[in-house]
Amino acid sequence: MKRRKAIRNLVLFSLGTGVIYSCRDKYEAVKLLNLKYVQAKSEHLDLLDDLSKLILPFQMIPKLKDHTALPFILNNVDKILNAENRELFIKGYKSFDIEIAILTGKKYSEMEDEEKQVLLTEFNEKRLVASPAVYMVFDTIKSKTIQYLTTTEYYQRKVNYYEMVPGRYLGDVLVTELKNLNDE
Amino acid sequence: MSDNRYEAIVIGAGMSGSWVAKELCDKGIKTLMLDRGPEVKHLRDYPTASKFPWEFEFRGAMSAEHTKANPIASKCYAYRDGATHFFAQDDVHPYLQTKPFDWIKGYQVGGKSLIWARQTQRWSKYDFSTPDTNRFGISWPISYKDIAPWYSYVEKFVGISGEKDGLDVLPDGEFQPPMEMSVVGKHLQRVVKENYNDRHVIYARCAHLTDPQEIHREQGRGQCQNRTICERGCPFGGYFSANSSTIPWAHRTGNLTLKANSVVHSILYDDATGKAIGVNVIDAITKIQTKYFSNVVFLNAGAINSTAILLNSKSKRYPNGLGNDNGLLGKYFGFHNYRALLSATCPGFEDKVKEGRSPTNEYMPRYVNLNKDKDGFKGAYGVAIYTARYRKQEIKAIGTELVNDLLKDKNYEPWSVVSMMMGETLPKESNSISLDSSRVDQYGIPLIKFNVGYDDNDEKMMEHFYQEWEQIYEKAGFTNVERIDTGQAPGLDIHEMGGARMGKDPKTSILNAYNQVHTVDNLYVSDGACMTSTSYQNPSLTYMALAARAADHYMKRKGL
Repeated sequence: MKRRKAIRNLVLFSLGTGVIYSCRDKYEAVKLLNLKYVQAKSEHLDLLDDLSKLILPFQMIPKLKDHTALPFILNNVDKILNAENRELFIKGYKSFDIEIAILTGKKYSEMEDEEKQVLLTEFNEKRLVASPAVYMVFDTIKSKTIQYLTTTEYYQRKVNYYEMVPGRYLGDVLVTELKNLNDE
Repeated sequence: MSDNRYEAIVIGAGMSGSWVAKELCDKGIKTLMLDRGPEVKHLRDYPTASKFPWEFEFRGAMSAEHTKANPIASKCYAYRDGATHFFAQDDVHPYLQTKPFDWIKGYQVGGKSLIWARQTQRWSKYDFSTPDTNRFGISWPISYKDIAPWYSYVEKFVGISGEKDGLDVLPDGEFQPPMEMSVVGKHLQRVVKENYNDRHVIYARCAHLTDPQEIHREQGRGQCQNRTICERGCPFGGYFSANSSTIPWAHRTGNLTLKANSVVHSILYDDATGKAIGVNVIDAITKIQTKYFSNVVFLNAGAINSTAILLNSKSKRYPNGLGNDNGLLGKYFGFHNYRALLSATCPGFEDKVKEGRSPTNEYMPRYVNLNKDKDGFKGAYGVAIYTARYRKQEIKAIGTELVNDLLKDKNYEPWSVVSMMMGETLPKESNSISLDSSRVDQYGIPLIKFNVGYDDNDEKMMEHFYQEWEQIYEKAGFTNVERIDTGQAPGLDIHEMGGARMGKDPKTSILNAYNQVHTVDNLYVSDGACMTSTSYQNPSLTYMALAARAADHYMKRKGL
């Protein structure tokens, strides 16, 4: 029994650190990543998670409703971004609320969702005169959330029709005849 | 047989070395095969072979720390998460460069046969005679006729997918059924046929089983499943690797002893008999030195390391390296020029896509300088053609609109094409590798130093390719044509050749027509180091054929 429990815990730990992140344990998941550079406070984690969900609210997809991209984003920032961009990102989330307040007269954390949407649309269209650090946050959150969604098992199977073992190759197929082996 | 004495020693358990071992063991010769890297057993040691994309930590990217430690290996197209363990790490295995040279190394049993591109085009009669007709370098001591039966022999065992195209510039072989061209590939093939007599678009031959035969089933290999994550190792044995094919075959004879983690320091030479008598080996883990002895030594450590081992094998008779009477060992080192790309959009064909994944691509064999250098430069080039239709990823919006854009079903970009010149480089004395005795590696072996670069001939060839292919693209109706010079350093083509070239004359070459060192007839060098010129094709098939031929030569001398 002990062995079985240990294996179960190991599996759960693996899922938590590397593969699936759920909204409920996002703080725990971030903690388990043992990030070296990104030491975000909970208010910053909330901010970044909020931005991710507003920029690309893939949680509207029923099978992804419990997912969050936050640990994936922070792990990428910590371990893949070069030092200059990483520092800019860290500076950006720390000053985000204040800088937005200076620009709009209202802190981001105090905005209603509709106000945030307007703000993020301005970011997206590069119409907001914000600092490079704040733009680094927006751009990184957007690109990494897209990467997270498009590499989920759901997306790979349902949209990309990914198969580990296709067992065939056809070079000249009508789009209309393309098989979707994952149709249920 | 004592613990340290064997009939034959093969240095290197990769593409060519495993072929030598297989041939020798099949004929009952007790063979010791050494490899500097760890053991990689087929199936057992492919830890990522069945991992899904979403199971990787960075999902396709590499950590900055990892990339920083591996600035060279990271440039390789196959160096992806899931395959890094099959590449030697740059920070562990340093080398010196007077000019940039990107050396991609696969230090494990099986070598780079685990991570190769699996392209298997034969050399033609034109390719072996190019140094003569185009007036550079020295003549090959063999012709296509000498190697053709060995191509067939190797192809049957390896399993090659390909069409019998009937071209004298690219001889047909022993083929399994070909894979299918893309709709754009077929279009380009038609356009080229209508406009040129001397050019042909074909589907490139590759070492993938499309119809496994008894000989492949005996190896325990099955049909290619079109996974195209080959660089992680194939659990189906769908493509040829030493690990899935030649090594287990040799093991089954009971005549093979394989020692992994065995770094060859040098080859032992006996001044009295004028023969190679064995090898001096350093254990990669314990660093303990051991000597092994044999009647014959086959050197198959890869072009660069084989040359380096010869250079490091010094004796009273050969103070400048074994077999190096003429001082040419390490010189005339070659590679392929893969810098020039031409990209374009392919209008039309909107109703068509590919399904599944292909391990190969469209290809145009050489059409220049067939019988003399008349195109303003010397040497040949072929063209690898990559046609694709990618999923369209619309990412302009944010919010629910962005989610909906990303979920659009069967939403594709237009077809696109990228053609890559595969250029022959000319063997030059100045393109060389040497040892720097002032710097040593972790085993106390002098570091290898590269002095290898492009020249004016390479630039002229690129310009010729660009101009010719811009015309082809125009005829095909392709748009948005863009010239790309990747500027990549030599080496990233991973087609290291020469250093101990074959030739007719001992004054200008190191090896004879059977890959024996001219002055040490029981020492064979039957890997890429032997290449007299580079031609333009991926060279592994030729290495395997030459290796099998060299092993046969030794056995015939023994009356086997």
